[in-house]
Amino acid sequence: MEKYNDKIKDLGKVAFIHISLDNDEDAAEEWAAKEGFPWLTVPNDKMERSGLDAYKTTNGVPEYHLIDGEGNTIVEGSPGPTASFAKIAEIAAEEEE
Amino acid sequence: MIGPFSFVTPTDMKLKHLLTGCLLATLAWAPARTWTSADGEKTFEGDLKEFDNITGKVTVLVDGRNLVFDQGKLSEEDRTFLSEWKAEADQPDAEEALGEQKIGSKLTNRVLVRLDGKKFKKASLEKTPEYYLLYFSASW
Repeated sequence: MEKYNDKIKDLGKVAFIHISLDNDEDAAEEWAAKEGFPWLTVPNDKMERSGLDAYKTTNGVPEYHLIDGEGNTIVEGSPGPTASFAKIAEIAAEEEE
Repeated sequence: MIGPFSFVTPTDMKLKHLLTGCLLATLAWAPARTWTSADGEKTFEGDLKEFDNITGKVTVLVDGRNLVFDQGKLSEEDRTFLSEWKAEADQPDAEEALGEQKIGSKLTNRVLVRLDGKKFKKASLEKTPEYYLLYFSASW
């Protein structure tokens, strides 16, 4: 959450999209409310319609996967956000130029 | 005679200019405007219809007639307004731009929600990002 607020929230070029893998929508909502999630979320029952299910490439959660607007993978899916945030830092530097 | 700066004196128009400025502040990109000559001596009111930033030609509707003249006749403030207006007019809105993206076109309020208080509510992307950081996760 801190990284989102610091690195992505105000970045024009990058959107953070949470794809909920909770089958139980109430549980997903309770969790989001408890944590105060500020980002956009695709509920589990809308995942297939969004087409984002195709980018779930590992077996575990969480998974971070950075793609471009055409769906090309920029940073492969990973359980940790480090590689994605490193790339986002580069994008942010370009945006500031 | 109708034409830019041919019939209005600036002193008579100060109040109107002020009021128009206030109106523009509330209607950010409303094209109705009091225009000022390059030397600041004359003003006239008209609705901006078009601005060609390549030829510099400005089209303003005054009393039901389209006047076409060069932007060089206008004050620096008006020329800045024209540039900003043109940039805004040429920019596709977020929804249209998202529609042209493979990913953006699918991320409509039919699939997106955002927390509003303690409940999810339908939401939309408010920008046209070039990249998406997907975060797959669950409460368990």
